[in-house]
Amino acid sequence: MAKKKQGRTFFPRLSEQMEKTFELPAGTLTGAVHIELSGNHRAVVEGCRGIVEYEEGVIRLNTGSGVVRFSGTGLSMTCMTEDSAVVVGSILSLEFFS
Amino acid sequence: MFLIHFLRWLFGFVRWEAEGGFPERLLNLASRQHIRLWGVERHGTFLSACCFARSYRRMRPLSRKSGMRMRLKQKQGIPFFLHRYRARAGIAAGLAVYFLLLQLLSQRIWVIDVSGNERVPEKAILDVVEQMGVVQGGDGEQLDIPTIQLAALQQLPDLAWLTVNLEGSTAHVEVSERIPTPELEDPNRPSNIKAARDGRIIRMEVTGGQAVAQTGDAVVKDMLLVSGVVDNASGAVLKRSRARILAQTRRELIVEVPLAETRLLPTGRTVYRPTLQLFGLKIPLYTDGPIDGEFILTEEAHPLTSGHIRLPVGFSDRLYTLLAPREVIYTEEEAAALAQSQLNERVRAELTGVEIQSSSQSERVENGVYILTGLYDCIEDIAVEEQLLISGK
Repeated sequence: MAKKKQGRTFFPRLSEQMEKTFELPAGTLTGAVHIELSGNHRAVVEGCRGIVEYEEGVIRLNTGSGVVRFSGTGLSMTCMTEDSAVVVGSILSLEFFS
Repeated sequence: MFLIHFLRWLFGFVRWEAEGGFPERLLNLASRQHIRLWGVERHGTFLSACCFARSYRRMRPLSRKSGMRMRLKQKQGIPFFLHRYRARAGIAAGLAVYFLLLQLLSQRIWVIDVSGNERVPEKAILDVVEQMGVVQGGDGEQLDIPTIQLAALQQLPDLAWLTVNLEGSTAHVEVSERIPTPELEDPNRPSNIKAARDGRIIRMEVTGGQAVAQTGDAVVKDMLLVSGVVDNASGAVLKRSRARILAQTRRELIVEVPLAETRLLPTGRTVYRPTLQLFGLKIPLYTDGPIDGEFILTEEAHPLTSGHIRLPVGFSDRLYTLLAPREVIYTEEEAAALAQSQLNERVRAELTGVEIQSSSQSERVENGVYILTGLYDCIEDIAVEEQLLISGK
């Protein structure tokens, strides 16, 4: 039996439409990535599906719908689980790539 | 955060370092295997992170897959601490026994404190509550306090209130003593006044009733002096008699001292029997059997105290002074001195409140007994009130 993967929905348009209709928080049904920034020194990424690149100056995370790129200095990951990651350090920029 | 750090320390965690290969692949593989990582740092070609001790073994094959060489840097937490001291199992066993005993003993009563009593002896209260489970070593949780209150008050009528408050291993027995209600005299109760002993009346002070004797009369014991039946114009009326009848009386006190008698006297030999009291257990520290014959027993308790609180540890001593029958022979002088002291004691006890006008003594020896007789001419109140019993009432 196929396992439903985090961040992936079978009917993206329908899920998006239902979120809008029922005024649900964004990402509840569509599985979109959530990024919570605390200033420029900490970012909690929920819905992360893996690490693409991990360097002191650059961290790239796969979010399913694209790639998030953190750049800065002294970057590191204080916690990492199957679907979330915490990036700390001096974050200079945050970019999205599809 | 403290709780998270504590849980990590409790379950044990390791810090490892990996070099070469593909660090990102290692991290991705770990996350897919549900291995929780934290403190992930990258320094050049090195990658270091922390994981739970039990997850570290699963990290090894993942590092090989990602072409990295893994090395353990640091081990922290309780499992490693216990592993280090695994050879000293006695310490762990001792700690386990300590906590077990602490848990077991803290549920028991070890100190019983009685407060609030002045007339009722503490021992009497302790004896009663002991029957109901308030005893050293007893289970405090099993006590039924309301039942104890009711039952104890029934057995101790001099108490008006009693309760048992448990505070840790201490049972505070708090009591309040009953204030006795004064007996109310019935001023209308009809009564007579009679003579308590033989004598000659020298003065009469009658404040109630009708006098049937006069000053100067010689009276004998139980003779009616003041009557409660008073005659007046409407007939006989029953009243309460009140009077003070002073009379000259003669008292005779006789004391007898045998010149030779057999008495139980200490032999000079004593037996000391200490007992160790330990948390309600009484451990005898002697091996000899029961004591035969007559003895005088003296008991002393020496509990260990902390402040004013008696702890459930200590010694109780029993001292048996052995007695043996011995024949005691007195000379007449010794017997006279002994009889005189006994006579003086009797005078103090029996002639208190009596005015002694003159006294004389005579002594004689009869059948091996020294007899001292004291004669006393006294002035005393011989009035004794006696209730009039009327049939039908």
